[in-house]
Amino acid sequence: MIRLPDQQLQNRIQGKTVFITGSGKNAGKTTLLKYLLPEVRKKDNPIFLSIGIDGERTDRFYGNLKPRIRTEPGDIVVSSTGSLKASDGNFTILEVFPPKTAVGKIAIAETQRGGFIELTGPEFNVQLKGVLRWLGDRYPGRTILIDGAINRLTQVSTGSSPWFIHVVTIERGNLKLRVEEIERIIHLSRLPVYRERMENRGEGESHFPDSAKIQVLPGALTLNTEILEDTGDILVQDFTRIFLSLKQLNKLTKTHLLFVRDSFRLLGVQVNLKNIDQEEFFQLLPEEDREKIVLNPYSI
Amino acid sequence: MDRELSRYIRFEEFYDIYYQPLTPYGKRDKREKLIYTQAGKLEELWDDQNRLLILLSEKREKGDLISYHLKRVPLLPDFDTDGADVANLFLVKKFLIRINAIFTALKGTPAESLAIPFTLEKLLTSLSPEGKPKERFYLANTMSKKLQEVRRNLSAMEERIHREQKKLLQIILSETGLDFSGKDFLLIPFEKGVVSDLLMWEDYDSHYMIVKPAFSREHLNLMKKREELLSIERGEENRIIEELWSQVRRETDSFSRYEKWITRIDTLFARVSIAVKGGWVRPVLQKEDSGIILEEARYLPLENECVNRKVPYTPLSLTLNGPLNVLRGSNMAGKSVVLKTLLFMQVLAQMGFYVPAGKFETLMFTNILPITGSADEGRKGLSSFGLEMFRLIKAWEKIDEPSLLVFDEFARSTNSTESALLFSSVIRNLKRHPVFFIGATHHQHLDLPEVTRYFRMKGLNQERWHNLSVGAELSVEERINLLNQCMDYTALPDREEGSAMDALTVARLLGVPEEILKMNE
Repeated sequence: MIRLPDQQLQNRIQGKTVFITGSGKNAGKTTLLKYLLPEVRKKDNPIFLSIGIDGERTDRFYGNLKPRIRTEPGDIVVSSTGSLKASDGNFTILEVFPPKTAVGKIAIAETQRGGFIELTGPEFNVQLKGVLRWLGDRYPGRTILIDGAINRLTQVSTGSSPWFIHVVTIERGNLKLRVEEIERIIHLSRLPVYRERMENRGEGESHFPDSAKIQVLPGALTLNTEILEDTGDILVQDFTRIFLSLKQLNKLTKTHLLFVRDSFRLLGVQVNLKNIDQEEFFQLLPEEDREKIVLNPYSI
Repeated sequence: MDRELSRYIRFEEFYDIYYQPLTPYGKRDKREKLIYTQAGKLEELWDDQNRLLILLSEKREKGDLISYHLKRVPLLPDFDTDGADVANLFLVKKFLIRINAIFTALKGTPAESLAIPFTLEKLLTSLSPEGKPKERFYLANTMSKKLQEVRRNLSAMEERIHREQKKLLQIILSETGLDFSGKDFLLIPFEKGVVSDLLMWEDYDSHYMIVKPAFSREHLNLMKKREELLSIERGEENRIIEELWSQVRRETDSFSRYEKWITRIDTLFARVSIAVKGGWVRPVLQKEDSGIILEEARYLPLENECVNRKVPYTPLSLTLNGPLNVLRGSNMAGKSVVLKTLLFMQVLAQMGFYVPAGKFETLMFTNILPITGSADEGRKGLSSFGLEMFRLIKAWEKIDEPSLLVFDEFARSTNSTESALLFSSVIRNLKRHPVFFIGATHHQHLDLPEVTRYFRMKGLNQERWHNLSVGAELSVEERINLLNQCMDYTALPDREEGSAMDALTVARLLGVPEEILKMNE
């Protein structure tokens, strides 16, 4: 019997800015957000938003209409003015950002009367940065949850190391693929950070980045990237620039030290299993990765 | 601004980095890159900057406060195309709060005359149900009795729904042991076999089912009544929003006036901030028949480059007493830098900036026309000579307006005889026009009007070269660097016939083989 890791994801998120990322659409990101909000409220009102317009109207796994999010008095929401208007809640507008989305300007609002809202967040990175800076200035220490795509981590990473929870839904047909995806994301999140590694460098570790052998990649690391013959260490901006499969990644890290300049800190991988036993799933994962797994919080 | 002029003086290196308006209005104005051609407008701009300068030097904290508010001025909605909604009302309110705060900050200061009266208190009060206006907007119950009543009913209804829901969840918990608090549904293994009229369920997979509370008819009826109340609330909210928006739209003239005002304050503030930081001075506009005086004028793009390269930079001091001026000097002696410095100062002045100089007295020009022979992306088909002729033709079309015409080694790519003839002929013809001219050239014997004034770059300090290079084995690159360090970039009055030539000396010092130099000598 495999011992389950700590399942209390909510304890790990208090006071942090956390991206909820997922493998493609309908991975269960919004459902997780919906679960986490009441948990955060036990200590303080959360701030929450999504990135862009969610094109999916229905939730593939639970078969329902896409879950609208319940907002309670004191919560701070970031959404289009159109979706605030359509909500049955009541809001005080705190800030409005000028660039328009297809559904109106993006506003930051405090909930006065609770209600349901369909989140439509900033579409452009510059907007997202602006929104997060505004929130960080006014509400330091509050929990911010962002229902967002993994590639958006890059744009907010400069100068900070955002946290993220990755959501994966696994079915019989994609079991192997998804387990690989989990291993890969955990592997990537554990890549050493260039600066930290430099500071902690001990005597004799001359092959680390200050040696002549480091190859700095300004763009993506793909299978076609030419790794120079005398390269010992490779430095990429962050892990979203790495487009290698788990197998390719493992092969590369056997012969090279792979560093990132900006790190994204993984709080956990939330897994929704369908027609798969927990035991079977955990057996497929390397033991050191299991501590990161959180199973569907709705199951009992 | 003309593209060639901008490129020649590397204007963007100043403009993009130094000049930073803080409001969306100032930023929009910045994009226009307006060059003023009316002395009155410029004097007004400089007078206003002077007032702000006094304010900043006497009351620094007021400056910080104004800057704080400027950063927070939002772009107003477009009153013609943007509809009535709470976001637009918020933006209007925020705009009013911020500009009122700037008016207040200016009061009782040396720059008080820059403020205009704030006349929209009544509108601001209408948008501020909270009393003292705060930078937030909501539709308060106090805005209408109907809204107050419907929200009271809604609140009571929600209380009932909440009670019903809580009751149901408690019964479910006690009957089935399932705790739905904070969750819409649960995933339950089939083997648990929970069956209850209080639950709805469907398959999730072969192990689990999705279970949700089944709400009672009473509960659903309450929800329906809530929907009806929400619809009334929405209707009343829309009515209030429309009413407030029409109040806003009635004041479009005032808003338009404030937009212009905030643009001016913001751009003035951005200009003054540069002047304060860099110790810049106010330019002085001379009468038409006067000259141009530069003292310790700094051409920022080059000065910054010198700082980065850790080499000394020489500011320019030069007096041009008459309208026709010829500048000569050896290669690498800094002739182009003189022209660029003058143009840079002139452009800054005519854009309403103070200038990085000890003194800058100049004239007002309708046109600033550099003819430099530098590449132009837009005219790839032309040779450099063709390009210069093209620019000369275009410049000549404006020659009857007060213009600053600058030649940088005009016609350098053609034979020296014809080049000198062309150069001389242009200058002779300029005599009849209101043009202030300065041209850098290598030509020594020119047939120019008597009034022409001549200048030369002081050039190579051979003694310094000798001291620094003696005994050293230098590469060509090192020689170039050293030669730059040994140049004296001072511009001096010169004789008509010119001074000794030193191109061969420079070539020798750079390391050109002796046999080549001897043959030429």
